[in-house]
Amino acid sequence: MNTVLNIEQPLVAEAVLPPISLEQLSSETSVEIVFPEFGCTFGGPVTVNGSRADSGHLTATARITGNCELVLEVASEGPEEMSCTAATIEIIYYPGERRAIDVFVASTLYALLGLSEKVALHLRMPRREVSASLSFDVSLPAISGFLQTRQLAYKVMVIERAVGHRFVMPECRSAEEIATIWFVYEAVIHRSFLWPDNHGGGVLILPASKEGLSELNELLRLRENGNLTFPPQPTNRVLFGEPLSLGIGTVTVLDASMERLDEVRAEIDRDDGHDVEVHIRSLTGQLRYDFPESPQMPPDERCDSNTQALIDIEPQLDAVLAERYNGLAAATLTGLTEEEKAQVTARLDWGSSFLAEPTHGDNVLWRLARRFLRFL
Amino acid sequence: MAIGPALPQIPLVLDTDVFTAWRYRSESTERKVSEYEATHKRPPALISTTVFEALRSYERTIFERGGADKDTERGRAEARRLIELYESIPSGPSTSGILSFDKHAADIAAYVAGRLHKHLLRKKNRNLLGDIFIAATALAHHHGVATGNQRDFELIGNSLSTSHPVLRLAIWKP
Repeated sequence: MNTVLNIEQPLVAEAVLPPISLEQLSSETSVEIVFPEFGCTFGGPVTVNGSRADSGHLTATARITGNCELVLEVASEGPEEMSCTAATIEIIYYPGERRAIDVFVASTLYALLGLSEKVALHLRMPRREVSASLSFDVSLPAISGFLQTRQLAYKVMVIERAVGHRFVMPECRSAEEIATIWFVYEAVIHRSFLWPDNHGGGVLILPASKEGLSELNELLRLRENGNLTFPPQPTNRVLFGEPLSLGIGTVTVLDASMERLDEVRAEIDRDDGHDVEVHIRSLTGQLRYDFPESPQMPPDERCDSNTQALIDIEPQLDAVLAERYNGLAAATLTGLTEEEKAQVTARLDWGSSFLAEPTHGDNVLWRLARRFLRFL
Repeated sequence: MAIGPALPQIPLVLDTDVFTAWRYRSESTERKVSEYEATHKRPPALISTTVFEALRSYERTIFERGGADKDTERGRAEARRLIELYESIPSGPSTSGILSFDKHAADIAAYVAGRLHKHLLRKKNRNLLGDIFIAATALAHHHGVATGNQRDFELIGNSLSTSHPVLRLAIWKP
């Protein structure tokens, strides 16, 4: 199991502000984090906690999602000096009932904090606006993790809309759950799709009888152009502990091979009723699923404009991520001459290192001597 | 035969030549890596022998010169940085983006190398053993291989038995 929601670790940044007084921060204030490159803004009106105002501290909290808050803490240098120029910004994800939409928004925000060149803090107060630049320390592997979480949450959102049911996403995800999300998403969006056969095929048990022979012949009849399509049957998957029906569907083993077919036939011909295993596998490791009745997204239902805007920035996020990784790979050769590049990228001649000589335990001299002796 | 196409659900490893092309900023390789990242949100994995090959080349250059110049040292530091970063990015079922040549991989590599012994003795196949290590490691960790060397990897795939997983190939010509 991998921990998914590392969005639960608060992200903190320090900001240098133009002087503001604590009195200026009120419930009429809005606090926003702005990503100008991506055209995204998170935050909004704040609730103010002034319980420590006497000591020159004040906290303003803007809600981003049901589980995610943007917390601004300002501190004056002393009780008599009520003007603040330094602030701490914290983005906190509270564990609770994890809805896909909340996870999607929070992980998008966290990825943006790592991918954006410019992150701005905007304070909108009555009669005054203040801006400051922010810098969050988010590593590239963490950004990849946020984007993967975002992608999964988006797929769950699509599934939710198709099946008309909202799921609670668990804190941890298993490889099986990830595979199920991908599978159901493909069934909803594409209906017909390829899926890897990672288990080396499957086994059918047929009786060694006339019925078994007729079932084997039926299997052979079903195999067309090398592909074997099994008859339609109801298909269900379990997602986050809840059953999902994908309707009546078929699975086709592409480039299907029935192993040891002659032996299987001979065993069935014994007609003694014992179980005979028929191994069926795809020679190219591919299955095709067809779900003509799978749940579909309602055609006229769209996300709210804010969520849609976050969905639509995916290509931009991908492009910046790719450029970061491309830059890292290229940096390994930066500044080197062409000759030096060739030298530090030369492949090791594994073949000559290990296999150029026969491995009989003798050396060249002995080999020559043996050849010579053959002529005597 | 145990060769199949790379499917989007299957993570990939870069073969050493594709990794080199990526470092050289080959446009088509960068495009392929970017497409992969759009699906997986991380770059394709590397295998431990590719890491060895990359680091060994810096060490050899530095040793033969009797010391590191500024650029080679910086290149080595960047290579190490990339590798460290890779280590902390899970890839498919693996918790690291650098896949180990482990016992399972050694079993597969030995099976293939034994069957391709005559090919391995030919000078023109000098990279074949390295490619066997890459394919075997990818198979052991349930990955496919992104390679420009279709011939070698098909030769390897065709040497596998039906009990081995299918070797999934994404052909990325630099």
